[in-house]
Amino acid sequence: MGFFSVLGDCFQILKHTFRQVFMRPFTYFFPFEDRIYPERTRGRHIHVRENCTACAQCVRACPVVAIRMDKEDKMYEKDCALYFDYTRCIFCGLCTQACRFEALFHTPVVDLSEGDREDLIFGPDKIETLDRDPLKWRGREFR
Amino acid sequence: MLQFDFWAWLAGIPQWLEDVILWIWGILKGIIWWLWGVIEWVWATVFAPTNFYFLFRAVLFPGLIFVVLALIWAVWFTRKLWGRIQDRRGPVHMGKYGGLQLFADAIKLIAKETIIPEKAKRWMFRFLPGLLLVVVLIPFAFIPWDTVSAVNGGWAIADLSVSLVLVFAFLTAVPVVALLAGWVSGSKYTLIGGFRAANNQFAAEIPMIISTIGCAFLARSLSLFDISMGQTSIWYAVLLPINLATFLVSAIASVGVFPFDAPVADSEIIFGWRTEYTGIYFTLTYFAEFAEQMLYSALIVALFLGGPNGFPFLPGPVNFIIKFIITFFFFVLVSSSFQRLRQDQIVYYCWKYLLPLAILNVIIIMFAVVYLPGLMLPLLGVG
Repeated sequence: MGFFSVLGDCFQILKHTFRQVFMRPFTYFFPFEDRIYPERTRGRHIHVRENCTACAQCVRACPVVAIRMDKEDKMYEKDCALYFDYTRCIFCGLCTQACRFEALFHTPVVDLSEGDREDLIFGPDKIETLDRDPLKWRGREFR
Repeated sequence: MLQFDFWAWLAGIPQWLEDVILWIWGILKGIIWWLWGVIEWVWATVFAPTNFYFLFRAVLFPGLIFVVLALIWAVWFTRKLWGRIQDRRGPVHMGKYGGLQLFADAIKLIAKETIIPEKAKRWMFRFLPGLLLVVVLIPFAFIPWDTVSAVNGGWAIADLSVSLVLVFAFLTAVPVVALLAGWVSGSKYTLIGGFRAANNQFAAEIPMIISTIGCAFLARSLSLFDISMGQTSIWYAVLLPINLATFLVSAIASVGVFPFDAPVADSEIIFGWRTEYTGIYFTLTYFAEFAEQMLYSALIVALFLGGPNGFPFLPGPVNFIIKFIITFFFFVLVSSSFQRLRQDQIVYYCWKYLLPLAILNVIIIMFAVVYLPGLMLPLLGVG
């Protein structure tokens, strides 16, 4: 470890940091852009009402009683409305396993933060679609 | 017989009152005329052409306003660059590319409560941050921004025949202020930080000043303007490359930013000598640190990189500012690359390596000037 080898190391470090200045940042711009999650990520659910038979197996399977069912609210012949309480949900995936009619799935959408506790109870209007208001930032729209 | 005529006295009272009122009015008129004279004198002094241009230069362009705006830019640039080096984005949310982040921070800090510790010497505690900023901003008056001297109406504020020495005299006061601030804050962490700041200066100042000797010696002047104008044909960075490096390193050590940030080592002593400062006082010390970095970058440009000399088709200040930005970039780059050194290591490295290297380059250039007669012509501005 002579003087010149230390000096050489210093210049190596400087070269590295200099290169680093012109690299793209590694971080995501989180609320506006998000990384792509794997296909089988257990994120929020989506409820396909055409296939639903209101068999209530998802409600039975849920270990934390996060799903509530409203049989009066019918859009098709024998479907029902589902209310998901994401303050309780632990994303265990048992409800999607229990569903035999391909009516309930997990999606890779994981950012569920809301301003109010009540907004985390996803009613039929929110659980049946993936659309949401785009975030606007500096003239660009995300999502 | 009574000498006093009562009726005459009674009749004279209005005259007496009038005299008193006139007397007071005379005094008031004198004061008003005097004030008006002062205003006329100030007006005539300010708007005499030479004085007006001097004031314009001292306050607006290369002066206070410009330096403060450059300071704001420097803080933004440093944060953005540190972010990029560490794979982050730096400030993004306030304004375009986070350009207004500093204003948001400043408003937040100014709005905060000022807490003065019980054991602090209150007067000194309040006085020192302002003094620090003033001491750091004054040497900007001697930076040669233009190829035309200040006397001949160039874009520079002032120049003295000893401005190099004067700048170092002001900069030596900075760690003294830090030590005093650490002392009067009445806390052990601030005291340790203050002594570490003094230790940094103790280590770095001698190599730094010896690094500038070569430039003063080649330009045969101690004036910063003369030194930068001595580089019309050849920059001193070519002749004194080792001195440029030693000056950069010892300047970083003197400011106390990253590899030499023992005075404010936040994982050891909370925030060093700035621990107890809150709100506006902290803002002042924070600005003073960046102003000192900018000042050292400007000194490097003036001493080694030709000052305002550069592209002939650009005006002097533009050349200077381009080189200043590049130098500041390297300043930030070097200060973001290395880990923190211990205090004894700082002294050890500065005295064992920087000091001999600085002296070595001066000696080499002395021999070169004596034994290579071809070198003298470009130095005289002939070649």
